[in-house]
Amino acid sequence: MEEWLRDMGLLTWLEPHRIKLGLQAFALLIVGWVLGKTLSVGLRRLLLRTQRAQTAMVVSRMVFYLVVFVAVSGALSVLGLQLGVLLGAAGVLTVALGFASQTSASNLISGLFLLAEQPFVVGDLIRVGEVTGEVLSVDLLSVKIRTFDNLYVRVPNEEVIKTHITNLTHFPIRRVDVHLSVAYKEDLERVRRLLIAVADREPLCLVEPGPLFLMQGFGESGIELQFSVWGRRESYIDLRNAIHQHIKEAFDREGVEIPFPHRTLYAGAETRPIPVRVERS
Amino acid sequence: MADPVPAPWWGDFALSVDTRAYWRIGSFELWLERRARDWMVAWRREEAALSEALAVEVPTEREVPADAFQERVGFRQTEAQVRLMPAMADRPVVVSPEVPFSVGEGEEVTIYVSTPVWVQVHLGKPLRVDFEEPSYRLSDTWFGPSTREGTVCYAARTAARLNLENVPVRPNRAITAVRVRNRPRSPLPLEHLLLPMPSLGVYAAPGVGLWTATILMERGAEGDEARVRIGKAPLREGKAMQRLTSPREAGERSVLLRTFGGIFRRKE
Repeated sequence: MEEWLRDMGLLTWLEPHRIKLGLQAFALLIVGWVLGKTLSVGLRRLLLRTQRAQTAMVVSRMVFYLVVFVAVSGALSVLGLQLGVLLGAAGVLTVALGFASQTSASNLISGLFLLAEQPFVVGDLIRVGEVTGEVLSVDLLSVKIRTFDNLYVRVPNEEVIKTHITNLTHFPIRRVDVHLSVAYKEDLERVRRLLIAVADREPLCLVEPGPLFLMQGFGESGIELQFSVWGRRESYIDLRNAIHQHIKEAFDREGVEIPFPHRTLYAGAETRPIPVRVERS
Repeated sequence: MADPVPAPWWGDFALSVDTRAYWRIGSFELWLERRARDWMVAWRREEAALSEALAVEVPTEREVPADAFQERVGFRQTEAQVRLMPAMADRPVVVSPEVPFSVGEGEEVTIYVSTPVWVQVHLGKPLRVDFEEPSYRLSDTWFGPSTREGTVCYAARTAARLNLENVPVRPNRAITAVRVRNRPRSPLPLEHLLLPMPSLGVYAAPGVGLWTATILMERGAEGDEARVRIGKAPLREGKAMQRLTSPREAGERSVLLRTFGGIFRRKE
């Protein structure tokens, strides 16, 4: 066994001074990791006072990766490995690794593009595919999202780059679209005035841009309308709830009918009406 | 605080433990109840924008209605002193004349605009603002060239009164004199006017209600920019009024040069 180990050259690694070097390299890695983490966290806290969360995150990550890279280089140097030679040898390794880590590499490149393009930043509300939530971090491999029901979702960067992203909080104001229908008998001008008055009375509803009244067409059960109002992005949910509630209240008060789907049974032009018999118990 | 101005509702008040005080400031009602270790603040607001109602009852037997919003502020031990102060809006206010209004070519007019004040309640020792609420909730609005660029403001309507005698004094509204000077050889239609309320302090003098510093707006020769300056405290019988509250945003008194579109919006 010992002969075999010597033949393989592994025994030289078990010599005391080699073990010492190994321990030194390991200690260097640990120190580098801890130092990187400490510096990164400290810097992030410092930057958060004056900078955006996104900037703080990117800068602190870069500092962390830099410190870890220096520590790894130092550890390799302690072990007597030349980084230049290693990188040269890595050329061959890269091909092998490239096949093995295609997905990770793709995510990594996508992550760099995401950081450069910045379609969203930390703290934004975004919709990616079927996931909607707040961006917690944009990392090298994935985007972490907290959904509204407080679930933690990790979306690979490659997926984010490939699909379309909707940033819900990019602009300071948003539009709330209310789709409704009114009975055919209603006076549309009166309905329009009622809706405008509802928007006027709601303080969360922006005066400018003004509300939009849109005829969508003649539906099965009534005339279909769209009423759109604008609000601050922070008050989007409050405005959405308030405007629906106030429209319903105003329609109830003024006797405007919101039709539910109904069918008229027609038994043909020549036929008599369908007989209905009422039985009393 | 020494207060030579007879204060209808603002100023310092003293309240003993387990007593309540009541203020009615236009459409805004406020109840304050002092307990040994906390203050209870209750308030409610009516929809009427131009109410002239005013009542100060310190102390009062009036019960806090069930529909009033309530909150409590805790202290190691509450102090008897409480201060109520008016403050201007925390965002700029966009005022629109009720009837289309324009300033003639080369003319200078002073428009009197009244906007609701925020009611601040100062508690503790030293006194600090522990509660603040607008006396009337103005609608939000957007002021800018597009839905991408601009500022969220409050919107208000104005009768654009030009005579001071016609300006009604209301307890919950402060009057701002806006002096608009139109230079170029074309009339200036004022569809909207952006007033930098956070940069204005509140002033008062006996019998004239609440005022803010004067705003001076001068249309530039090119017509696409405006020089906005916040003037001094308004005068009352030749003397400056007493300042009740400092501006929320300091350092805005100096001469500002802003784009014309950012101050006025012209009718196309």
